[in-house]
Amino acid sequence: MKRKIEDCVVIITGASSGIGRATALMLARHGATVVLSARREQALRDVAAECEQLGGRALVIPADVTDQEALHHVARQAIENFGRIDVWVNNAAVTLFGRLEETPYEACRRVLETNIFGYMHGARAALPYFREQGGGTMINVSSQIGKVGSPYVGLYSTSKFAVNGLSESLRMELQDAPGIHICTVLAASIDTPLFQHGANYTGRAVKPLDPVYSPQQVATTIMNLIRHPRREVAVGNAGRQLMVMRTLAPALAEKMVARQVDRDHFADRSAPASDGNLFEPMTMWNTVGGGWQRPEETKARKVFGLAAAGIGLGIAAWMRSSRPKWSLAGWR
Amino acid sequence: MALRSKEKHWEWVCREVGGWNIFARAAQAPPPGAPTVILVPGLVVASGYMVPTLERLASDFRVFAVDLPGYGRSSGLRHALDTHELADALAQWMDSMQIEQANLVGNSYGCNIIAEFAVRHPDRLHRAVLQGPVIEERERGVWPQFRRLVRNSPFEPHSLGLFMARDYARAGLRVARETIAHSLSHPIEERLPHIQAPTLVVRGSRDPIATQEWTERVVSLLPRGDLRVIPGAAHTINYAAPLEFARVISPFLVH
Repeated sequence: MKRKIEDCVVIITGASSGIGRATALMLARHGATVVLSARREQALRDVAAECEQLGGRALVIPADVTDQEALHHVARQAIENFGRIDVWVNNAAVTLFGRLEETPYEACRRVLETNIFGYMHGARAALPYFREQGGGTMINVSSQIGKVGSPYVGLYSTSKFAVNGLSESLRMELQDAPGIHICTVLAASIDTPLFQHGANYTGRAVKPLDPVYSPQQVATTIMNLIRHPRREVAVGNAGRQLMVMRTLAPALAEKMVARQVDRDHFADRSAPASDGNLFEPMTMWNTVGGGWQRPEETKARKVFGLAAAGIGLGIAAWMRSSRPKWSLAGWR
Repeated sequence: MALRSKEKHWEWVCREVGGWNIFARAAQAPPPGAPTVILVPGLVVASGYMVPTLERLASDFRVFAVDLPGYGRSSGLRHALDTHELADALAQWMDSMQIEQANLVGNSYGCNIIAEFAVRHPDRLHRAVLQGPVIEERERGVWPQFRRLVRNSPFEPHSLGLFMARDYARAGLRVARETIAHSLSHPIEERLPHIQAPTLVVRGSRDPIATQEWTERVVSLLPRGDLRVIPGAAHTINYAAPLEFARVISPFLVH
């Protein structure tokens, strides 16, 4: 049954910051009931207060997604309080920067456990309720580097490839349940604290790959998916082009990405080795944005985009006007 | 939109109580040792619209949905019983069924009957669920209630109208009118502070009859009350959203 956003119960993992927090706030503004989960309880309470101020209902249930039982508990609590789960947003993810052979083993495992096992635990917690209800939408927040690899964030990329595979397989498995939808969001570089949270063993400070898109763009996409579920949606054009390129000329695409990441993913200053938020959540950076998006740059991109579109339209108009007018004679 | 589903998971039981024949639907094959749950219908309506909830609860509880004297199959009275008379009739029916203590789940005016029951027979009530309790003091008039009923109707399944039409017809116009009068004069706010049993108040977020403000007041008046709001549901959650209703009240009732 199709429900309005304000009648929906939406569970969001990783709701304390970044895309999760942006999504919770946007849904709350539309009157939705949000169940917020993450490791940091205090940060979640802040988000919940903001959600309620915006006119939504919010329930806070702290959980570490690497623990299956914890996510079962989240689902049970939502059911006992609201009777239903309309949407489960798998969003909690961590990242690390470093060459594979120079990264501590435990850190490698932790990224895969959070990003892959976390989503699997979420799906296993939500799907039995979806089945019983005969409907529900699961939204897996993934990444465009889950379609195209990337150096120094190989494990993050690996985990997102896995998430895409899991989503696709579940879609097939659920062919018999037309009310249940599994949607994948392929995000480009998003302006979130992910880059401050990430573990870093490269020796250099990191920054997101340009161009950077706003977390609200992802939140809007998620809200649209709740209204009209689709199998896979990309947010951010840059990566969309890259995905096409990778299909057409894979070897060339690999070389280009490798060069661009080398040139663009790191700042010109050194940074000490850090585990980031892999093992313990950070008290800092519980915000939506990460401060990576410079407004003038966004504006410049818009101006450029408009200019490009204008030139394109101009050329089309010119070609059209220089062609002989449509006439029956022209068809001969 | 049939009133009867093809496969029936319940059967009628009839007991003669104080000169009335009281009919009730009993879920078939209750799990051994399961707690008893009695569903109490609202204003003039009978147990039919409780069947979806009855069927959802049947796997974990021994469930009954009762047609109180004057309504449904137990109709045939010249005058409607008062709220406290209905509560006493329910207690007598429990005697005849040898039910010592039960969980009571009511919808709308059924909540008033449960509140009255809790005060008059406190030791026979284990836990109570008040779903969409009525009636807010300042709205105790025929017109305010009629207006709210009309505002509620778009959110309910059309088949509910069939149940209501049939149940009002069976009760008769006089009994219906008198019941409405009893419901409008029942001071539920004076009974709530005396309910000693743990009580769960359930409201649909789109219910225009039991408003958020009023249900919060109901909870504040209860010594051991708690509130759950089901997003998107309206006034008859027991009929329109039985899965959600059962999921919310089952963990409360098993305690």
